Amino acid sequence: MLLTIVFIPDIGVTANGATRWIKIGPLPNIQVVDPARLLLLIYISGYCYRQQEALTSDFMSFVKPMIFIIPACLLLLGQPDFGSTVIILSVTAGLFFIAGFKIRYFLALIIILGLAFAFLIYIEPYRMSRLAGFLEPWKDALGVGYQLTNSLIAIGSGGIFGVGLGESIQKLFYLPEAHTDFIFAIIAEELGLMGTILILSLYGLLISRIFVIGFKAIQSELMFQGYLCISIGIWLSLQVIINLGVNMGLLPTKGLTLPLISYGSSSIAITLITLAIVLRIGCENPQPKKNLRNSG
Amino acid sequence: MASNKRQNSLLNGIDNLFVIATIFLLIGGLVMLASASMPIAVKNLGDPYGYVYKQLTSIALGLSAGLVAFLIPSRIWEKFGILLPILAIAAHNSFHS
Repeated sequence: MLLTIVFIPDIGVTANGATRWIKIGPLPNIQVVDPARLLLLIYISGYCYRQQEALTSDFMSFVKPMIFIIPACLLLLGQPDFGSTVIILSVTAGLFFIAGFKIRYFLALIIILGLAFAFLIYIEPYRMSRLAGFLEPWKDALGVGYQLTNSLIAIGSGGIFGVGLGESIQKLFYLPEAHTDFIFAIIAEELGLMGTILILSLYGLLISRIFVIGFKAIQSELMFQGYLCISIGIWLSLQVIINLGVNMGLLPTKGLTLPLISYGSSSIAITLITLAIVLRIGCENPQPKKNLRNSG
Repeated sequence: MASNKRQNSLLNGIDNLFVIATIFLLIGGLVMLASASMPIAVKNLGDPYGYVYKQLTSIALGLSAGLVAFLIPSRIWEKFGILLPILAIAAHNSFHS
């Protein structure tokens, strides 16, 4: 619903061929998918919590929340934002798996989603050209493969220790979107393999803590809180993995930010709100009694 | 007194590693953003730190909104989860009409 706003004239802001932003007064542009994604995650977690029984026995239980999710995805695709659609559908499927969806239903679901994604790639010519650019970036290094080849040049010239902070060549207009979607390539160029390992271990620590909080909540019968944490964990890991994959040429180009690092007003603000909710859930989990002073 | 005690137990439950990872990612990200955005910031905004200031504003906004979100008990999200998008639309429409 929130996603419809971008189609209202004068409010939707178009950048790089995609209308994904809204502008309200003096506030920085809001990328609508960020708040909408958080609300959808909350909705799906609440649905899994309320329909716990039906979920384990009935395939149709997956269809009902689609009343909300499919229009949202269609709106995202209209913007067009293929990456966010993939993420939202994958998180939904992952959460259903955690919530006890039958494994054969789950496999059927994966096949349906895979076919849907393949169809979506097939019908849009620019996605096909991106796919071609992704499979053979060097064939057309100044055309469709431009961004990817420059990203690969950046990562490659970083080596193990990097060229040093601030010394990047690729950020000087060779690599478009060096401060948003392709910031990882610049990190790899300036800080090398060591820097990327550090960043990745920080993400790993963060995501593992989110999952620990989520599973603790489920163990304490706080099912909704647990599901919400796990869906957030899946979302964050997918976002990081897809962004890194795009930067390194392992996945076709999509407009996804690197959470907490990329420049983007709403992306970083909503990510912080999301993390605050996880932190709150962690605090609501029953704490082990601290009797150190008494026992020592 | 009772609420004070409850607040304390809430703060005791904070996951330290989680907070540390977030803070380091934010600081490291800001440093890298400063470095990566400098040429394009000069070109688009005329100020090499333009994007860094904008990002700092967003971080401050996100942290304050995050504090509010932290103070909301998580059950509330489940109860009002479906209403939130409708509310957002309504608020937006009334704001613009």
